[in-house]
Amino acid sequence: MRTAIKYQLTEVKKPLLIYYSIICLIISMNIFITFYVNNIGVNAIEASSMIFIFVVGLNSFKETFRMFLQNSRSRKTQFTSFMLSILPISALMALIDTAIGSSAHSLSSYQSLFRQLYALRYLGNSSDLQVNVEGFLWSMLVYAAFAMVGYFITTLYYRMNKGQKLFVSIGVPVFLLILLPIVDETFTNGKMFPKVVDFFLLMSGVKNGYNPFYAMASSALFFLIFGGLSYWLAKRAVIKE
Amino acid sequence: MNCIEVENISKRFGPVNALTNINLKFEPNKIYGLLGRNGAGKSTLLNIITNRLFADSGQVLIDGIKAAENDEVIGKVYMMSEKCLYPEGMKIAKVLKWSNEFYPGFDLDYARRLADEFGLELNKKVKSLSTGYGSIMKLVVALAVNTPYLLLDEPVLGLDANHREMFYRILVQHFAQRPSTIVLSTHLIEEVATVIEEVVIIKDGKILKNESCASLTAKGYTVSGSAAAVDSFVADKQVIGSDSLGGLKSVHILGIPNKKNLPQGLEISRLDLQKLFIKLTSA
Repeated sequence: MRTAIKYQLTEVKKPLLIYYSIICLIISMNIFITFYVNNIGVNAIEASSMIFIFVVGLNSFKETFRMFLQNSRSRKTQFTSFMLSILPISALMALIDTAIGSSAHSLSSYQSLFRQLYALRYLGNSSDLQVNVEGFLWSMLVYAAFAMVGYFITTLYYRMNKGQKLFVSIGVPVFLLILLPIVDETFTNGKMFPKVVDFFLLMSGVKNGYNPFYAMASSALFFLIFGGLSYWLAKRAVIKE
Repeated sequence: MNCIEVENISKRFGPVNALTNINLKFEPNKIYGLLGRNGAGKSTLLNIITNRLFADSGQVLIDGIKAAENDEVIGKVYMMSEKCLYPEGMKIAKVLKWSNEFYPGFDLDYARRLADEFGLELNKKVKSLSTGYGSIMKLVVALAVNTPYLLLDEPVLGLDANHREMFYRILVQHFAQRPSTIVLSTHLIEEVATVIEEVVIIKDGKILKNESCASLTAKGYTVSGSAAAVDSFVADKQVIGSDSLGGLKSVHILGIPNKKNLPQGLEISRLDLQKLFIKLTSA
């Protein structure tokens, strides 16, 4: 298992270095620019980290699966090592993002996504330590959930045949972007979408006194649900021609 | 018991029966030839043994323990497959490095020496290798991995005659120094005939023959002569095939030849493994 985790971590090392080199460059430029120009700047790097780790999840199945089978490792080991490696990666990214966010915030008008979403919670006498600790935990769990959703999608696609892939690739966007709005307008008088938005606001804790612990709990739940689904898919995966 | 046991394995791909109720045992420290025509089920069998495919029924035991999804047990087997499962963007040096990490018995220095001997450049990426060098890379890992069981599926695919000769020489040397169970699945029967000890022939997903190479080849012989004389001689024998040219005929027979009863004008010659294989599997 140690080697499997090491392999998973090593696979992410290089992309992570490149990603943070770019982020550091952008944030440095941002600090420099805001000295001269007001109202222009970059905020919320957590959003790009979410996309990055989602892509990491998307790229973590097929190649690793083949490599692990070649090296006599089971599907269970592959899945467990992914779970155990994505948590420290999420933690590391959350730590870096929190540190960058905190430093950039004190040097410029930079606002992290966390500070923007939960600003009202920290009005008054909240300490920076509280903001940073809660921001770190929030980022870590959200990143882990994004990675797991990516892993689930890639595992699902690996298991599907061409027809199923085509059906899902076309069917899901058509359902969400065309059919659902039509159904919402026709049968529920446009009440469905506000309910969906409400649900996400509830999950993120914004609707509950801007409490990030709701988002942390939701992310942990997503991580476990998509983790369970991914394992269910991965445990019967086979080498494809 | 130290062996790979395949028990009642069956596997279907849609309407095709790839394997039907296969029972086999690969015993310790023997070199097996797993022979069969294209689509006979050789690769499917090896993939099931190594947990890459799941059987519809039956089980595989390695050293008496169920192999499916068991790292410790599957770790005793290394399979070099026809298909390359290493990441395409990975450099050969990394392939060796990770093989060294995953397999405790891996001999990294030996692997580097072998790579050098075969002319395999370690700084090249997997995707840049030709078919031949792709096979060489996998062979280098396979020969250095030092697992008790080594399964080689089409090991010499794309290799030129020099490299093939080199591989067989190194394989035999390696076996002499560190005996292990080796299964060679190949089409090039003539080449492996001198290397293998045991023969398993698969046809249409079923085991046709499973015995020692010596005993199998001793059971077959060819009778040649005039067509009428040959036909009369083989009338009560188990004929597995025949070739005719003009008035001459050669008939391949399973059984022990009795040279004393051989009519004048007929000749008996030994059937080699390749001919025997062709005759057994072409019907």
